[in-house]
Amino acid sequence: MSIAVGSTRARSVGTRGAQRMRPPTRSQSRSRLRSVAAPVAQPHSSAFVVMLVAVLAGGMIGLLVLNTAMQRSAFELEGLRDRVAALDVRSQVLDLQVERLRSPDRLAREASELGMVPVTSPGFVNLDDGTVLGQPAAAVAGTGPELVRVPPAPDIAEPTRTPAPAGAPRERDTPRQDRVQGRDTPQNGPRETHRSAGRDEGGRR
Amino acid sequence: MQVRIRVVFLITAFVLSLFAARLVQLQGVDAAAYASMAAQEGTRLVELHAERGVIRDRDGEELATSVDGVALTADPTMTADDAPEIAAVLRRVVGMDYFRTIEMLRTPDTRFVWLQRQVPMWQADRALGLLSDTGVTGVFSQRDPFRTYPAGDVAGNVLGFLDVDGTGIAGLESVADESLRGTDGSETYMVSSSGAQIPLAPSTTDDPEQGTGLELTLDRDLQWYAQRRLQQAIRETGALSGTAVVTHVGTGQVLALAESPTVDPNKPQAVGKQDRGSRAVQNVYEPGSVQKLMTFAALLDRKQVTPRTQLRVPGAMTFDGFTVGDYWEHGMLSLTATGVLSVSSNLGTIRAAENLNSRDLEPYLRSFGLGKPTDIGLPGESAGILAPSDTWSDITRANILFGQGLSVTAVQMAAAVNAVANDGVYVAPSLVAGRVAPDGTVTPAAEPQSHRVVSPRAATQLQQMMEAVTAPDGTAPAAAIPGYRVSGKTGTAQRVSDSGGYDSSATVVSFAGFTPADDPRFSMYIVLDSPDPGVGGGTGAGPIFRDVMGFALQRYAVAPSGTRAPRLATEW
Repeated sequence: MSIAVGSTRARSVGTRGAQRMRPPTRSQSRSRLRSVAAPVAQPHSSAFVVMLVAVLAGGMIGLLVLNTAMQRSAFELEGLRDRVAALDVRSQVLDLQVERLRSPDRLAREASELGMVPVTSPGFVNLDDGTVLGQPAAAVAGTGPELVRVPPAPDIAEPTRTPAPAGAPRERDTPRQDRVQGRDTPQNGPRETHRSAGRDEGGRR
Repeated sequence: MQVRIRVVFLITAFVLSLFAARLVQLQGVDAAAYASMAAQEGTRLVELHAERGVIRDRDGEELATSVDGVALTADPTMTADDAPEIAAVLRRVVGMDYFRTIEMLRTPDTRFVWLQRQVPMWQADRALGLLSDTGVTGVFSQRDPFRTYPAGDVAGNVLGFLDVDGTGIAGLESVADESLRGTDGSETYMVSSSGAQIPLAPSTTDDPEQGTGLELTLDRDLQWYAQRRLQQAIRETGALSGTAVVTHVGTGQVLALAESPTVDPNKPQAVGKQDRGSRAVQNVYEPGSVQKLMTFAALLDRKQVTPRTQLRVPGAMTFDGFTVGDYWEHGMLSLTATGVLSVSSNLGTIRAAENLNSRDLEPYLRSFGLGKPTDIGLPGESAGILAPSDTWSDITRANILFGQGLSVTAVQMAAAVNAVANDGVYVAPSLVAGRVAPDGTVTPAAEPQSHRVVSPRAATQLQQMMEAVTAPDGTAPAAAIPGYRVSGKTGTAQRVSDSGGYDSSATVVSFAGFTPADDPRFSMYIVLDSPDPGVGGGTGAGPIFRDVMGFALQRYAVAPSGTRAPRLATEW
């Protein structure tokens, strides 16, 4: 197959070449001979080669640098993605921690530990004429309604703290009875942890 | 010579044709399969998970939110030998039981066990880090996000919870599951042999559709307060359970829907099945005397009574052979309509309604929302039981007038009472204020349906009559809030036992009210199931009303009533 193709091509080139060659052969005999200047291209050609090599080398190096940079940024991208994921987790955990610290049960407990009592008889100032509505009276401990107190939810969000020592019970395992008997709050484990957590939080603010 | 050339040519041709055939097979027949295999080798498909929408209260406080977590799994064929080391790490970091973990890590004849699901990401990261530091293999993690409810059991009955696979199976989590969960997306990209993404290589991203959140009408702090106060009351009265509903009068928005005992959605298994739903919409009971409000509303609307109508109330009446009495023994009394309501006389109510026939009463009751679900948006809502009026016998009609012989849910009653407070216009109660798109924009829920039940005049008259209930000589002086005018009505009904008849010892006590009576802002309905004997609507539920309503008035800075309650005569 290939042989056949080759031969036809060769033949056609041959015929075309023969037709073109003919006229110059005729005119050649009429033209005069002239002297031509000697070629002075010797130093020129070596400079050209050097330039070619330089371009080639430059291109190669450029390509290499570009490639490396892209690879490096790919790794960087990968690393940054991991970092984003890690920070995402961290922000979730912190959000959760804030939400738990803000939970009504915890705020009520903290408030009562600070000695605060609910207002039972507030006064209202009418801003238009300055009159006071209602019978404002100082809040007295023990006069407000008694509320069931519930110990805080187990804290799953404390990534910055060191893990509990092997012997200590996990907050997670806090038995459920605590919720039921919750009215007498003091002296149980989880509450203590939370109090210190609360102080930290307060200190930062 | 010729023969040899031919033989060699034939062999060569045969071998070459084999190659050609293989080429055709590879390029022509299996091309797609091989191409995709080659592509897969260097392609990574990552699922982009949609985050479940948050549920928050009317002020944006988060009630339910999702957290990234993983499930820890293990291949016991790899972990059996290192079980003690692994278990020690998991116990310390994740809090798993040491011996059970060892057992799981040594499960025979399997290559996969779940160790722990829904482990917070930071714990799992630390545990896996420690394990890889010590060089043990065989413990793996896979994505397993979980839901957390930062306020614990606050509104647990409304929120509901998810099953272990993240599908809502109770409360709003179940009703709105589809829109909360969103749609997962995916991302495909080329990776190098080291696993890093190849820059500029083709990649496609199909963005996930994040879940749509819910904004509720609930006020978390008021809900919390109502729940804790109710819990306290249940402890004091010995009731089996209790429900309290606080509604914003004009809009019908439920600000608190407290129940006790209830579920902490963080650990639904900690309570029995009966406490995991919402009894405020699922349980029906006979409402008792609070129902008299609807009877009097109908009478006032039809102008058959006024607050001053004078009634002669006998000590007993008989219908179809059944004798009806009041909860206290009395002879002939001379009470006004207001007096009948304030001392909650069954016989007085029957007397007042002498000219109100069943066919005229029924439309009022249905208009107040009885006998059909309120569509508040919680699963499993009951319609209550209200038989058509043409089936009512004389005794049934008499019973319905004072709240026996028909069944309601707590939310139905709360909405009916709210209609009285709302000057006679019933507004369907609502729990969901709007939907929160992933970008944070809130689309308000459709306006709740509303319709007029009784004339404004009748409603105002009833509101004033109800103020006598919380007066010192009414049935619920304990519900009075100093400085505010309070309209109320107590209820004590015999409880229908599981076998069908009335249970002589068990009651359902309730209190309905609103304040300030001169311009109602909040209405509230409280019901306690089977409190200790002797506890009535006024003594059992009244104080809850006073405290929770007092809290709401302070919280929303409602100024004390500047006026005094009208003095309506109760006797003549």
